[in-house]
Amino acid sequence: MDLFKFLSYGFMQRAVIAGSFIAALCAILGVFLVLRRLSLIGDGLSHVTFGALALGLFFNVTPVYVALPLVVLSSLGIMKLTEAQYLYGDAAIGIVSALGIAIGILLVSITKGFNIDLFSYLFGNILAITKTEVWMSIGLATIVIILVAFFYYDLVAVTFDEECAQAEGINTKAVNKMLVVLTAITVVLAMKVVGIMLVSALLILPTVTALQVAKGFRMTMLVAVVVAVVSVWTGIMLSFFLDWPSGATIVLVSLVLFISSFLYRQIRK
Amino acid sequence: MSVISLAVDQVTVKYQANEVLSGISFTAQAGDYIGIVGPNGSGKTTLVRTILGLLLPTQGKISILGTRQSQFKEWQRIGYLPQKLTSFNPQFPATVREVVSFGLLAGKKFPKQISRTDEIAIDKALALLEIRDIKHKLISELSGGQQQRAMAARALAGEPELLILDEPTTALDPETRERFYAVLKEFNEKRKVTILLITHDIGTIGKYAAKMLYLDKKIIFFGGFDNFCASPDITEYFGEYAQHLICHRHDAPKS
Repeated sequence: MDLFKFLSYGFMQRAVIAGSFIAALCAILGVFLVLRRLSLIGDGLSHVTFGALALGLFFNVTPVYVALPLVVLSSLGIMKLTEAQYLYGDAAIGIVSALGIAIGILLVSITKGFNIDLFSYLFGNILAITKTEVWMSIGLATIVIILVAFFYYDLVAVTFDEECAQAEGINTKAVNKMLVVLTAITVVLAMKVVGIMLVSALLILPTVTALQVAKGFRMTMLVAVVVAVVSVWTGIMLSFFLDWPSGATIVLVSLVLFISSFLYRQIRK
Repeated sequence: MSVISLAVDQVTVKYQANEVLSGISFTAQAGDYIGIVGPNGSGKTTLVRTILGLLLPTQGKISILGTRQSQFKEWQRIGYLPQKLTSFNPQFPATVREVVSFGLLAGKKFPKQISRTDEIAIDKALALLEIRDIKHKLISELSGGQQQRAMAARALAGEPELLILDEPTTALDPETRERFYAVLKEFNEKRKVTILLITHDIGTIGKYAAKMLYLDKKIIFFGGFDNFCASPDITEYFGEYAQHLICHRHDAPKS
């Protein structure tokens, strides 16, 4: 069938495989982040990713290798600032986010020549994903999914109410750290799929869509994963045939699904 | 020899320079039913949060079920119903059944799973709180009273030895409130569950709790309800008229 002919291209196969794994990852973590009102942590960490990428390109090091440790450290920094009650969570995210952007802009402005590379990370270029990036996505996505499955009940209990979870002997600080570190890894992986500017959309939109229609926590997670994967597949297909930018197309498809689910819920009421 | 469920020894809690609890000492024997009462801001919630390790005492020691609080790990032996959920998102998509199941997670080894035995315990707790018919409803769709009953079922599901309840009936209508107190009384009498219950309703709790702990940053009174009504300390604290009003609101004799 002609419609699926695009899947015969190697770069499209890589895009679909890596995109599916990363979409599932974003959806799973997104459910916890949105319900804990931590949606903007994805946005903040993506801005740190921008600074880290600029740093990598500046020193001519593969950007992902610089971004991963720096973004993970930043996520822990945000957590520490919030836990110690030095700052409100959103203020901590705002500060770390601004720092990332500032470093990125500074390095871009004093260095000429890597603007095109940076552009592909800023706005995503899933069709340019390499084999290494595919394996990295599969490997890390598998680790994250296993961790979430292993600590599922602790994550859900802490998301429901942190104080109750703590009173039941759950190490809430460790659970929180795990959640932000997994989010940091996911944000770095997702930058090629939708781009730094739009990665938080992939964390938020599938969850808010699922919340309109799903009943039960597991079902919400499942629907969010389906919405995210369908958005990525449809986005890739549309961007191939219409020659639209892939990252923006994926996000727009997610948005259409959210609006549809929202209207469906309103009509059902 | 009676077993001590809870021992609080000279506990002081400060928020920065502000002392909110001062030199609190009392013990709860296994099977005690203690009503914790006191005015707003008297430190009742701070006391139970400190017992549960959610706050660290500035001074003093706490021992839970024979183990020093800082070393206590058997949280499945304690049931806790907070006054309100601190970080609950009204959009939370869990069903009532799922929420009750969270009460059985304490003390489980990884990877935590809900077993067949747990399923039976969940059903029993739902039946006890008369919320079986809404078990598949989302917690976010319930009224405040139904949510409170779901949280109570969560606290009772693990059949704890020590039950700590912080104003558990504020959202319940009078009839449901009485039935809830009756459930607690049954837990206390038949299963020898130790209960610590914070309330503002001194008259009602006097019908059920054998002991009263009146708190106002320090312990004003700790002992049997009858002694509470006869206590000169309480007369001095409340005045004779107020004491008379409080003590004559409970009409049913304690068992």
